[in-house]
Amino acid sequence: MPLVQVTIPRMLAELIGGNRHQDVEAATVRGALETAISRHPELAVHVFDETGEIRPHVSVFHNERSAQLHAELNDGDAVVVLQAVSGG
Amino acid sequence: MSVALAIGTLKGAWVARSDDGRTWSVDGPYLKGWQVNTFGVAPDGTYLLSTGSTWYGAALHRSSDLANWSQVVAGPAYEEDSGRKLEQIWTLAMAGRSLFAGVAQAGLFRSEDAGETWAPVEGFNDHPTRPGWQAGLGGLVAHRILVDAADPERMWVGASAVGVFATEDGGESWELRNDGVTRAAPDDDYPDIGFCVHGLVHDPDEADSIWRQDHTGVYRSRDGARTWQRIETGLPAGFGFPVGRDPQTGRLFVVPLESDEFRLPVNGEFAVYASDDAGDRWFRAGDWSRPGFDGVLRDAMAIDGNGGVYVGSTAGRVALSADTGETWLELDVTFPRIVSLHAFVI
Repeated sequence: MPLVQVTIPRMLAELIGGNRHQDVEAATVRGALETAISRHPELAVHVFDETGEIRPHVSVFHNERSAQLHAELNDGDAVVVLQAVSGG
Repeated sequence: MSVALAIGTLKGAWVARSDDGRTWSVDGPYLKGWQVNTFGVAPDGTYLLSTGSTWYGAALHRSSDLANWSQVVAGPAYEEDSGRKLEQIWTLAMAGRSLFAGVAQAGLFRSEDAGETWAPVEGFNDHPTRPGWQAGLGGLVAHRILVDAADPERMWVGASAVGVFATEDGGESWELRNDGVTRAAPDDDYPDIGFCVHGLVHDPDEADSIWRQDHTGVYRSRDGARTWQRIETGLPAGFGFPVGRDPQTGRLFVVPLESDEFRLPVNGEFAVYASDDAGDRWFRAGDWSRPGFDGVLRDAMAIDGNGGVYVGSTAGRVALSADTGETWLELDVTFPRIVSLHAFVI
């Protein structure tokens, strides 16, 4: 299973003690997010909505490109959760 | 006796503390960057607050000291197949050993374990009139919960722009009680709803006496919300959001704004109005005002039961009185837009 790094926004990191980065083993972008969230289940409601989809104003990037949740990962890949550019 | 005044804003929470009601220290921000919608106390004595975020949704957080907060993992949430989204948690209320949360999209949730886990109140959430429920400017929101302390099976809930609901059986069944109130969003297909309640407060010793700051004016009920009478004598305007009541003296408080169109203090005078006769006549509390064009939102008035009256404004200012509205001062800190204000006697 590829070893990748998941990065979350600072506002979410502060809910779990401040650590923005986690190394996880996962085959897909969704798998990486779910593994990271399984360690800190309070994050789930902030990333996914009631239907299990990524929240409309949350963006997920895979190696600096907008991610498909089913995209396959390779060793060393980066999965980054970002606050979408919206709101005030 | 100390008071901790919890201040929820668009960008976090602060806590102002005082031993005498006149000298205050302010700590925070807590939950920096998060919109803090309301505060409450769980049956186990811990404090709760709710956060809501355009980006990250809504959650509950718990603290034993109003300073160190940890998120509740299994907060209120609609079922995946409900077709509803939980956007904000707007109010928390204890009913006996139960804890209720009012949310947007409008609904109620109930916890029997001090807020750790929650279940939907289906009798309310699936009310027969729900297909006609309309959102107000602030969304489709269940935002006020009153509980009869002598019989916690009796509750009243305000939802905008729907109306006041009442239950006599602990939340199993709910009926609309809005007779006498002008409808703000009339829809002939749903003649029982379309009422836009903003604030609700009642007499804890006589729970059937309820006061209502509505979109369409200020009202009073003496019969558990079954009928309402308009009570606006002395007010410069009927529109506004919060209504509060000092439980010791019975003095009522509102903050009038000029009409639902303009929503500004009348004549640019920020002032709190009070009544000592259950709303028959109103007067400017303490004859105090300041120049200002800020308002007070529905959860941003707090009364501590020991003479303390507090209002937090949309301009981030906190006006407070330690003598039930006779004299006023303002905290010398400007906060982000204040959404909620709750006073806890420590």
